[in-house]
Amino acid sequence: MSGVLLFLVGVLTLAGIYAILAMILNLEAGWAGMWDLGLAGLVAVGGYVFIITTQQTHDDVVIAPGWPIWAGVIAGSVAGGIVALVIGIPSLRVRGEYFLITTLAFAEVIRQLSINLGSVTRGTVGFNQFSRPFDSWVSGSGYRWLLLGLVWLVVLIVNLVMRRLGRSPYGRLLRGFRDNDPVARSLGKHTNKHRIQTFVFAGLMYGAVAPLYVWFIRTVTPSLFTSEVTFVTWTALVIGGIASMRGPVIGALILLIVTEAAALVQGLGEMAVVLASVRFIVLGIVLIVVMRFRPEGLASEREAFASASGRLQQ
Amino acid sequence: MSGPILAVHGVTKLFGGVAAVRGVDMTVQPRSISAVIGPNGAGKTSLFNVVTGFEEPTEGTVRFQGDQVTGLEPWQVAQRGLIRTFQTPTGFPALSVWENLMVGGSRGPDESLWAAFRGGWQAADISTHERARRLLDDLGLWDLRDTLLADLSPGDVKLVDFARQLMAQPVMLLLDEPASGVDPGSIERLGNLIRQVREQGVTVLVIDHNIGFVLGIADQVHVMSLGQVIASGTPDEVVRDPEVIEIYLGRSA
Amino acid sequence: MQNVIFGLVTGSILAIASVGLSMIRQTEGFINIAHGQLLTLGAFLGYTFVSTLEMNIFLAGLLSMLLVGILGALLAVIVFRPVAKSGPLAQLFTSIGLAYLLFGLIRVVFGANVTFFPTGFGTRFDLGPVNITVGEILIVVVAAVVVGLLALFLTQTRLGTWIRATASNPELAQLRGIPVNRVSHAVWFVASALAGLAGVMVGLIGNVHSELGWTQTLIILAAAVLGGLGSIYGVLASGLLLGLAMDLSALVIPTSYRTVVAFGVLILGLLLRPQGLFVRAGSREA
Repeated sequence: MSGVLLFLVGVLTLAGIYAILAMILNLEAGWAGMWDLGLAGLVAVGGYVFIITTQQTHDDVVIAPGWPIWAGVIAGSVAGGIVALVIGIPSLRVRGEYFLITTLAFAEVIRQLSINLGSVTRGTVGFNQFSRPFDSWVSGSGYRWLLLGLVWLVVLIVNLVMRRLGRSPYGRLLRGFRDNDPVARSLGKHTNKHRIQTFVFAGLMYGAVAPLYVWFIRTVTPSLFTSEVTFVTWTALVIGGIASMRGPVIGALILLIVTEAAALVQGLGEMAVVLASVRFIVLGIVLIVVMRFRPEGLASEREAFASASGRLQQ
Repeated sequence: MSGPILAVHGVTKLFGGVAAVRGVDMTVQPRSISAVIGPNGAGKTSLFNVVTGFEEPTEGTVRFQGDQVTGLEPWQVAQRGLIRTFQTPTGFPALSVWENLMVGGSRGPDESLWAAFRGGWQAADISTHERARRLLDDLGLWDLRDTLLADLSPGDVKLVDFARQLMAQPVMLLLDEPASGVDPGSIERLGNLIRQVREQGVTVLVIDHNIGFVLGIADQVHVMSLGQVIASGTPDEVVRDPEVIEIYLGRSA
Repeated sequence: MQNVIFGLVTGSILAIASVGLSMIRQTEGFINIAHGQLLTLGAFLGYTFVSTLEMNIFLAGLLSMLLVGILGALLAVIVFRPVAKSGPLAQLFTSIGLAYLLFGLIRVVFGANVTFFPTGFGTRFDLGPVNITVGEILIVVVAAVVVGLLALFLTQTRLGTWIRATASNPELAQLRGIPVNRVSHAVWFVASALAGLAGVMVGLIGNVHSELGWTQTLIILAAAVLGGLGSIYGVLASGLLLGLAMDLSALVIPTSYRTVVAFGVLILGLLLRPQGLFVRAGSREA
């Protein structure tokens, strides 16, 4: 299997993972108007709870029940939801930029905890020996194709879920009070309750999909969940078109292909740092250019929901 | 039901050192159309805000249908049937006219996250669709039903706001400047609709600058100035009140 | 007691860095995430001047400040102004993009290694009940002087008054004929220069590395938000407060939890007073 093809498979897999993250972010930020800069923390919670509960070797950590994979996924999801509730209740008392920064702060706290609670998380060493689903079925490099398929299957499922949510009265209410909270409240809508529910649901989802990320990277360390995950997800969403339907997936594909393509450039050993840096430079340039020339992104909210209003009166 | 549907007692609202509303007493009888008029800064909108829970009064109480509603959250007040409109028309800009009305008419359970998964909301409310259709017809907005609110003229947005709040099936409706920015033809439609709404049992309280409009539809008029109610009575009585005349002479209302 | 000194030093640096961020937020209307990268640039420039060019530290510091200040103003015109019409969120995301761009460029130019200022200001000596280094004294003194100069500038000069007016009410300022463009350039220059200065200070007492930007940005953000984003004195005070909190907490908690403490204070502060700790409700002072 040629190196370029394998590389492409990897890029598409990672793009799929970010597409899922971006779709979840689209729900809470694009439709419900909650500018969450802390999603990396929720993914971290999901990832760590997953690996801790499913970890087979348990000499140096205090918690290691060794559950099967499906149980670990559920545990990670529930953990994500609980942490989202804990973060959400206080954070939703502040609005706009303050919410942004509060969520960012919580995510950083989570990351620091993952570094410092070594007896549970193995600190910066992390976990790197674990099995992945179906890995007995396929040999080494073939597994990448399986994971690619798995990830994009989840992309499809999440996309269908989001479509359903977006077109429902719930989704409609979200896009309503996102833009005009007082009017929504004047109609008797308990908007903060809807916000919390959405935020917790997002937490459940981030936690549930974290294992995909873990299986792709093949280790679990605190450096996996830096604010870079948050910012790349946001960039993907913003490029693709926030509050649209197709935007998150389009944005993730374009962003990941463009930034990772830079790594295809072969170079000498001393160039390694430069190459790693090029990714950031490209990421930055793409974001700046898109904001400059097409700040609403590639897909628009209008188009995404246009057909919806048309078929309402039957 | 006997007794006033809305009773405001000694309501004062201070912002810093300034009293937007001072010691206001007001009652509204059920199934009436009342109005609050007064120059800019008289405290009319602040009064509305206190009554509907968007502000907490510094002093005083508000009773709706006999129950204490002072200090409740806006959504709690609204769920009891006390619905208001806002002075600046904005509504839900990303939603169409039809969707705006549907949000107004939707009940809580249908809008929950669970309902979104479970489904079943589509078949639920034929009567809601009917009400929405009739309202849009009455206001001449049926052709605009799929237009996003962001694309409408401010006057049309005003009308949609009114229709949407009506969809929430209010027991009492508080209208904040419903006629401002609306073209004369639509003002007449608006007046008819308000009378129609009253026929259906809804009590209406209106704030507006358009004295002609107000005097044409109101049974009771309260005049406010500098945070206090200075006159109450029928339109004829109020128009002849010397204090009221003094306020409106030499001041652009 | 020793930790109080550390706290003062950390707090001084934090205050200097946060003031700039707060000024930009007030006059330009958005949070500039790239601020931390300007700090890193200041640190690296300072290092280059001191070690490679063997400049005197004061000169190096001044020069770094100047260069970063000019760069900040240039970036504002080239990168931020064209996006201003698209609103504060577009500007926020532009600043995130710029942060990544600068981060990448800094790594390319200066490398990814950790380094430190070879100034010999690091020797500790005793001063009463505590021990301290020349570098630390320098930082606190310079910070105090700079803050004093800033206050004078904002209150006594015409440009400074214009800045304060624009900060408290941009629309009104424009209507009154204040040259908003000049104010904008000045604010960007001053804010960026302060970031650069903070970078030099960080280099003076600690390590210089490309990740500085990200770690510092979060804490700077915390200080600026805690201080109320709109109140310069509030931001200064909260910078010092956070610095003290971080270093005093080391007495009871492992030092690796330093940043957690800072965020804990931020979260607590925002929950108790959502508008920021030092802002009088309804007022926006410069």
